[in-house]
Amino acid sequence: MILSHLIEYHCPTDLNEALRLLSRPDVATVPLGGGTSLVADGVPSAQAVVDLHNLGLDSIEAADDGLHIGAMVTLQNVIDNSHSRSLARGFLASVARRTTTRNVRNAATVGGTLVSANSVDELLLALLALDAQVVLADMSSKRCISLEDFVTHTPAHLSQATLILGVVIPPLPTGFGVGLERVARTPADRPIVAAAAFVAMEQGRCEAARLILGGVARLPVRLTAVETRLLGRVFNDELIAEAAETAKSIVVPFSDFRASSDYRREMAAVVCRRALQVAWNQVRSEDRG
Amino acid sequence: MKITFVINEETETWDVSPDDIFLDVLRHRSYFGVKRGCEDSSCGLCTVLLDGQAVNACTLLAAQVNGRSITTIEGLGTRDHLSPLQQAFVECGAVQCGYCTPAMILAAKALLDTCPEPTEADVRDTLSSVYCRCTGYVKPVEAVLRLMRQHQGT
Amino acid sequence: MFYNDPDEMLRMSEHPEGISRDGFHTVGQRATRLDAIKLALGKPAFTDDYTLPGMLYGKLLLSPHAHARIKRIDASRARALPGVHAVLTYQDIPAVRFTTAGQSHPLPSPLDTVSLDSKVRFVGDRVAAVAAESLEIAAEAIRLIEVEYEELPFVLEIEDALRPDAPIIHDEPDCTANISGSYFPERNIAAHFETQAGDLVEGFARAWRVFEAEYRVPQVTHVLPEPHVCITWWDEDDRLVIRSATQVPFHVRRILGSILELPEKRIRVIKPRIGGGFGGKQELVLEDICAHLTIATGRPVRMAFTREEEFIAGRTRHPQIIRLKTGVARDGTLTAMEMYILATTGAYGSHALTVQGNSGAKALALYRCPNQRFAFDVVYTNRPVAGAMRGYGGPQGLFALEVHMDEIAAALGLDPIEFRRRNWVRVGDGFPLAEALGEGRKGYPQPLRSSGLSQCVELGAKAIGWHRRESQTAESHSPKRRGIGMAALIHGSGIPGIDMGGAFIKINDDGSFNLLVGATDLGTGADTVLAQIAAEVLGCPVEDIIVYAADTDLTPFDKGAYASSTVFVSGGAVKKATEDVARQIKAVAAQMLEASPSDIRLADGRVVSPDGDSATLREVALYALHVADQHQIMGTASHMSVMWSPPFAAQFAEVEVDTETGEVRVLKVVTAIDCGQPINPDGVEGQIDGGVHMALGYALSEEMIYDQAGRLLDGRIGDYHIFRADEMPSMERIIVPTVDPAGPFGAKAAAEIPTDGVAPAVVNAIYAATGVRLREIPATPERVWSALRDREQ
Repeated sequence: MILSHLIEYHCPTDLNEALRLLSRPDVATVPLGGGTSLVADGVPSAQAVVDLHNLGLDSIEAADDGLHIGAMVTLQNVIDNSHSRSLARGFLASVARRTTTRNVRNAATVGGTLVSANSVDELLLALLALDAQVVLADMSSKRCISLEDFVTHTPAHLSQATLILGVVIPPLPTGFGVGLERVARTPADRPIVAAAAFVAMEQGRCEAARLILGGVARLPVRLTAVETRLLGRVFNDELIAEAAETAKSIVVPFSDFRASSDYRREMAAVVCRRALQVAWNQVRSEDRG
Repeated sequence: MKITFVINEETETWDVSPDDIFLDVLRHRSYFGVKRGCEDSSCGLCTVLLDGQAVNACTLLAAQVNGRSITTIEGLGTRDHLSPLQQAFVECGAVQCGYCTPAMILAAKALLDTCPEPTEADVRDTLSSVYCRCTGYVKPVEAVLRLMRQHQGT
Repeated sequence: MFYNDPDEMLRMSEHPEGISRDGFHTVGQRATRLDAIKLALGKPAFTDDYTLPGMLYGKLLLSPHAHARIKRIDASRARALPGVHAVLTYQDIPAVRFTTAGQSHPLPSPLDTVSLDSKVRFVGDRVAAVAAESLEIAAEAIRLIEVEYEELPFVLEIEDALRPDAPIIHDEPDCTANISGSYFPERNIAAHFETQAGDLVEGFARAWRVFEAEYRVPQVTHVLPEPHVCITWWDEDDRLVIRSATQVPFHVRRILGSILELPEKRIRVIKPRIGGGFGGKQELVLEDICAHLTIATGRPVRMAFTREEEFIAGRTRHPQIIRLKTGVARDGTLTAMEMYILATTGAYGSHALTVQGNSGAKALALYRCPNQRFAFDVVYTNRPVAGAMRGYGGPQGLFALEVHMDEIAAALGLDPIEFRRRNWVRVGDGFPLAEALGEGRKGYPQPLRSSGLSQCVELGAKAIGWHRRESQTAESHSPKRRGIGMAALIHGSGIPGIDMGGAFIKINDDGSFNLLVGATDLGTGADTVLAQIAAEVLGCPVEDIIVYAADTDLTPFDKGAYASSTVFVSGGAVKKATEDVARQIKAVAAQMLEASPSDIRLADGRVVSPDGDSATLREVALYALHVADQHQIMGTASHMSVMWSPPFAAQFAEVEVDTETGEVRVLKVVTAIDCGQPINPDGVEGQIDGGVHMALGYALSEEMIYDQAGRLLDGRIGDYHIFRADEMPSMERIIVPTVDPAGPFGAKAAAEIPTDGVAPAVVNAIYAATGVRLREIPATPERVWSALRDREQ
């Protein structure tokens, strides 16, 4: 209904043709992935869509620089594909599974997840925690930027006729752990707040940490101040509790019908603590195992 | 524009507009088994199978279907020869108001076609695409599990 | 004249002659739904699965303001748009006052609504209507209507509506109510009521301890699978046909007659298959304006709500603030009970009097208490309209009561079950307020004649593991705590002395039967149950009963599907009509088999004489229709009950509370129900499953929340959220059969009571788990977390 000005549909088989269509100055053209967001929310100004279905962007491939997931890979592909299914001990697939319903997962794409940039989209939080890189292409070049950069400055990155080709999840170090924790009204409801944590340990000390918090701002927030406090430290309950308190002290969440700002702040601490705890426990059990 | 695709095993060519939603086109062409419950992929009542996978027709452009294969509830059984899932839903009392029944049956079919021995969690995960206000999902889940057990038994 | 005498009714409910006394052949058996196959095949059975030549598409312009006067409305640009056939504003149609609530005559809800008005009273109220050749053109025309509003002060919160400076929502002079002394629109009161029995002063004076508390329940909505939809057209006799997803076709016809100023004989309402109603379709939400568009254009018009429109312009459950005051004697028995409800009906008074009346009728009938006072005020606010919703006041009243009883038990140091047991009603007890709560007229006394409550509680407690309650101490390190809670419940079977249903049944050449009823199966399986009742009387297979319902031209009157009445009231009519047919069949069979009619038995699709001679029903039908003394074997009957024959139930919930986040996860729900003789146990289970599902949302998550301008914030399914298949708790249902003398084959209702007790059981379980008592639902994480934090401070 809100695509009421749509007069053209294109389904090119060639990336350059897709980019050319998108770059036309006189026809407002938008790329179409699965449609679960674009068609649902609509783009009133769009006069043309470019369906990305036939561009061959739907593969998942393991390479030396990491796992390449095409932009048109559906969320269900992430769950079913043997490479992505086993990534980070199944972390990405299990998060993808609880992100939305099966029907939507069959249509919604990884590229769409990036563009929608919903702050409580757990798959997005997980990709951020795994330090995913985004591969972009325009008429002149291909480039790779961090997902964090992409999410923070999406309009700038997509301002020229630009397409997301996919994401690359860099190889994970040994001794890593991941966790994603959420608070929600019911088990299957969208989270009120959620946190994704990634830690890497070497000889008991924290080598790398990424902590992403959703549900406190319009976009997911990376808590670098908390990460800094963890680097080089030996994990214990006190350190994690301290990190969680830091997280709480630096966020200024919004209120909406799901919960108040105060509650979100308090829960930011809880989900950060729990996500870090889960990640750390994973490191420890891997060590023992 | 024209789209050529397979619907319920028949190849058809339909004239559609770029902005046509597939759900509207189906109902306009008397595929009434696909129901409208929302406009934003949140209720699943408009489930159809696209290349064998359950998707919501309310957020699918008709143009996207070009060259692909669609199954609607009309393509399953008949009164004298219900499909196994239809039979199971009828026998288990899984049909109450019936408005979500075609969607549930199609979603379950997509699951069983690719995963013949799903767990109850898999069945619930699949049926969670379709919201129902009558059954609490109890008997629909039972129906799918019962059919699966029957298949295992034979 | 003594038709409704309880003794007479008891006699009428005994097995008819010819039915074996050693058991039913159909009643109580799991019957496959007669309608299941067509639905599983996706056949075009619903209102919208239908088109007519030249059909136009109707659409409404809804108000963006919570309260405003239309200063200027200009539809000229919309009317000029090619493909637009009519644009209606308040200037174009007569302002006839009505209520959207479909109830019996005289309508107990205030007559405060007109099809289109010069004033809007909530975000989502009607402003104008369009009929056009496509939905796209209609939507474009809606955008072209120019409206200048004079915004008025508005009121959203229940308590604020009664402030002296509150804006008056219905200031028009011609709003009236049929129930005298109940309606005070000049003070924003859509319904007021008070009554008492016994001596409150004495009752409280005699009390050892007195408990007082206030409870709050939210505004929630049905989230109907099939949004409201109807198609209207003129037939070849210039009669107006309404094809509508309605629970109340006969009330729709009557109310439309007055709105459109057409005699009822020129209106025909057809109810096809309904995609869920739950009370939301006990209302004229679209039929009147759709009919106006057909009258304006002469063309068939189809109107349907989008999901977004359904959320704001559909109907909702009345939110309430409930104050309870209870006196308890040293022995734990109740000495006095006072209940006051302050509710809002939103901008229009649909079901305002009767829903709130039912909150008291249900809550105050559950426990013996000689001294009772019950009063309520239902106020107008600038919110979407409340109305009928599964439970009809029961979920509100019983939430307050059952949490209150739990609180008292805890304060007295009694087991919650034991405290309830000392007080719950028993067979032979009366209900002191029964005569005062007659839905706008004098009610009938209600001596209780059947109750399985005690067994429901006993079996439910066993199933949930009530004995584990004491041992559920917390593991020291986990923030998660488990607890078990329960609620005892009572509901009704139809509205005594008001609800009436009719049935007509005839035999066909092949020995099958057409059963025509006005009763409106809204997805519950009622048609199948009615067929089972007929098949039981006739000794034939259920499949040989072809049920048709409902069409105001073809089927007898029935009040419609509400108040848990179909099995009890409409089923009574089917049983009587079928018994008449059975008598006629026996008379024919007696001729054929040369036996006395009283000796003929009906069994296995045959008539059987004492010496073993028999004939098939087909042979009987052919004999009667074609051979001798030719006549159509057919029967008609009406049924009305003065008894409310309450079903009882006990619901138990086990929860796990995350004390750090306040998240509550329901692990298991047990429902034990006494619905008299279950006619189709499969259907009873289905009612329990659906009721529990809806009530889980009421308990934990569903709530309509508005911004400061009165706009609904969570009006999408993804935001409002109803429970999905992958997050349901384990569910167990137990049926405790009893025999109620007023019900067909001893049946009572099962439809609404499962919706009543999940919320109090969950809240009581949260208390058992944490020691924190919520008096407000839904028990959202933030609400529970705040309560836990407040206790610590």
